[in-house]
Amino acid sequence: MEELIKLREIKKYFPWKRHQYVKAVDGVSLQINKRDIFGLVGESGSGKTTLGRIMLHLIDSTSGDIFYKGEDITKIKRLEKSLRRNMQIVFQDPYSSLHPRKKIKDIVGSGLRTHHLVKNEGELITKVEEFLNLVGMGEEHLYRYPHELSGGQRQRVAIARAFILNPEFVVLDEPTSSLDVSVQAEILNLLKRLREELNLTYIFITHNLYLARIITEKIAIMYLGKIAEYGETENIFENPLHPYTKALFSVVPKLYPKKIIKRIILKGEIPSPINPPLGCRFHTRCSEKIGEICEKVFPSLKEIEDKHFVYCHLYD
Amino acid sequence: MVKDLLLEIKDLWVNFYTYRGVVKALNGVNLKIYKGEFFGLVGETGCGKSVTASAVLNLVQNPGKIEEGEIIFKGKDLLKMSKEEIRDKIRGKEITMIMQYPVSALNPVINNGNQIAESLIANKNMSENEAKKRVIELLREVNIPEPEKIARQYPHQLSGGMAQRVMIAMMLSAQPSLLIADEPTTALDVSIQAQVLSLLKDLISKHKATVLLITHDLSVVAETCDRVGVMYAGDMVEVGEVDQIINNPQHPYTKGLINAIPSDRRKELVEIRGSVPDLVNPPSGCRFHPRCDYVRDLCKSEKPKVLQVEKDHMVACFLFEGGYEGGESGRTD
Repeated sequence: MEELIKLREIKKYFPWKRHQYVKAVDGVSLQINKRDIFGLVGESGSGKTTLGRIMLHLIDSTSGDIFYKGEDITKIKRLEKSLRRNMQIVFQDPYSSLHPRKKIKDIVGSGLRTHHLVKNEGELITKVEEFLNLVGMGEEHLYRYPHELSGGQRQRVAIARAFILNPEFVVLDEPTSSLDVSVQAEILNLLKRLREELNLTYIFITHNLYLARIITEKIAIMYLGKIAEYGETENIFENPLHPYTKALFSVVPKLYPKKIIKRIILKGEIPSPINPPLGCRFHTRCSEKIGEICEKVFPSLKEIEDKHFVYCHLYD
Repeated sequence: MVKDLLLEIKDLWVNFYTYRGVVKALNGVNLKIYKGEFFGLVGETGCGKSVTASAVLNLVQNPGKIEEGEIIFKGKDLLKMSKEEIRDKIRGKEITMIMQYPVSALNPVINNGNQIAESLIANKNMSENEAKKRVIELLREVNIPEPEKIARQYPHQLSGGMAQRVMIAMMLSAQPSLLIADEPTTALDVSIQAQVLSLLKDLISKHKATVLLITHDLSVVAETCDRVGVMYAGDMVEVGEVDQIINNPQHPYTKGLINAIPSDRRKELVEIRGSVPDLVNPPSGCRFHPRCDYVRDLCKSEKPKVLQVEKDHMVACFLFEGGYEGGESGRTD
């Protein structure tokens, strides 16, 4: 498997007050291979969106290296256009991510103009039409404005805009969380089909575990700017290792709840990322804490089964 | 056990008169809620679940209008009461509501303690000191750590989960017979959602109140409710016990919805073809017919009657006319 992106000790601290920082991402190392559908799963404040944006070089990391096909892109001040073309994003809220005063053809086609991929308006229209068809929309939408479309249609437009430049990888930042479930199913099935047709790599950001199971092949569970556990999606579902992952599984509402199983309801709230707990980030809420070591030392990475990694002292 | 009827909605029609035309938001909704139960109202955006709740509290506002129907609460028709009567006797006393965004539902310039005390002083004739003491008890009851400190703080200093607890404490202070919870956990993270839902459940069984939970998330209903009503485009399409609806859905829309939810047992999602209709021009007959796999000519012209398919399980669909047949229509996959 060919490596596409490699993150090494990525940190992102946003300045807060004097000498205080919001530690949104605090030391994340990951490798994403070509044709992966890689899920970043976590609650709000876990750093999943920040990490996704760092991968795209939309925001600079505070420290750490990002290798894109072996090349360190953190050293480059501004990404070259050719590199930018390869990385695209679909945002969470299709009501605010489309320019309200531009026509659909201009929204979808603007990348083509920027990268000089079309010579004239005619070519642009042909190309935009092709991609609108690909996402299941007809050419009657070409000259419409975003406000004339439903949420699902808008998200299709956002997808067409991201995919028209033939990118290598796409960050999907909660692409369905503002949509109704029946529409969500449509968009997910569309994304799955496009992955096959266009040979893409996805980073899929979500807070919904069961959603992650439907689309991803690998996932990383994030908590307070750190990764708790990562591996193949099925392995994590069959055999969650980190106490946070276990708790998360137990609190997610299930359609077919098992009455007997006692739920692990997490105590308290997520601590502030300005002063995250020392040692393991999760020790303040953990039900399987072993002792002082959890409060003082951040656990090292351990491979428990094939390609299933966890950061937890329980497995020392 | 004979169940006592607490609230009955009979043939409720609500329209909204907008510049685009008349939005036919509720299309003759029927609903019964019994004392002591946890009833879930589920549906997608625009199906009318929140409008139903506002109608109960007489909060349907311009350009909305309740056209027809009865809302019978403890034997009295709320729609025949005057605005003042509802305000003085029902809203905030007999029936209370918690909202989706607790931080914006609370008054930002009154501290949390005084906000809860306000209703105690006004409704329960407590003195200020009594009310203050009761506030601390209430906050403790909703598992707020350091209640004295939280009572002095303002809503913007609270996290979403804490603010929702303050809302719940406020609602409990009135000791209502019916608590309407409109998407109470949608804005919260899953770990906090679980805390709030289990708190709500405990309190309800302790205070013997009744809850009408409005949500778009069928999984939340599966975990918390006793009975559930599924709404689609202003129609109540199916009502039954949670078990019946989840494990044996009958209406084609309910089946579609269950197949589209990423859940613990599903690895592939099945979409419902087409999209939700515009309620200015709703489809004739059964409003689901343009998207239904089992559509017949009859569905296009007539509104389906509500039929009973098993004990306490009602479906509004022509498929079940002439008695329950079971067989193919009982499948979920």
